[in-house]
Amino acid sequence: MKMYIKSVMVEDQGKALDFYTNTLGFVVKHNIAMGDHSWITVVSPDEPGGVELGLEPNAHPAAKVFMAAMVEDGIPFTAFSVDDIEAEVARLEAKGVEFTQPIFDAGTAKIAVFDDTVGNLIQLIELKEEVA
Amino acid sequence: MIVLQRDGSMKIRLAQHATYVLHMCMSFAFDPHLSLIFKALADDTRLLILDELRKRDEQSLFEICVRVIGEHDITLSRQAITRHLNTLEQSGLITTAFKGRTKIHSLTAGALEELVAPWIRPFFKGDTP
Repeated sequence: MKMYIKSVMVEDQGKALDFYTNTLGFVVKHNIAMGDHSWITVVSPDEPGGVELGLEPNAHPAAKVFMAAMVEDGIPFTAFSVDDIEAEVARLEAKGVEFTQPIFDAGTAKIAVFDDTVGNLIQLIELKEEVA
Repeated sequence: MIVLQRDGSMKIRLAQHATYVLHMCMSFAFDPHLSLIFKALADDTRLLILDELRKRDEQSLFEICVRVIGEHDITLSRQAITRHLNTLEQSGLITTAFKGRTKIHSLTAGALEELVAPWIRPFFKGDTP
């Protein structure tokens, strides 16, 4: 069994697509119109055949409640790994990304948290050593 | 009232009387808030949380969890940290507010100075009645 898609729920698919591609730098894998919404997935340019990230509309009432609760407690439900977190934070801040939590050294990893502008907090993580 | 019967007996009654007088003084002179603050301070995790908020203000629950657990190598659930934060907020040592849609926690400016310092300072000076 392989990982295929992991999704983030977003408040606005168009705005999300812009942020996840033009700001974060992911590339579109699928973008198929389906009624009121679209089926959109993006992948990392480093792993075009890797796990896809779905940008799912948060149309279900429960989705909005869940997202609001995560943001209220400052919890990033989704994480992306980077090789050099200082460089990545600097690159994103230059593009206007708002970091809600600056880089913090948690021992085995360094982490930072930013706002994806469509209802989610996202964690960036630089693992100091490969987890076996 | 002190009844003189035997030496030992008298001593005990004196001690009880002294405690009673002290208690009366305390109930009049003390801000009841003071003991709430000391109760809030009487916990290792809560002291660590205060330390982390002193280093960086305006932290979310998640950030406090990450810092307390990450820096001090202790294992605590998010729910446990939430309870500690509630105790600290009720004591007035920290305050919460919303920054955007995120609830943030900060030290209350001057809380220790205003509430604890007037009571504790005489001890530092070695004042006696």
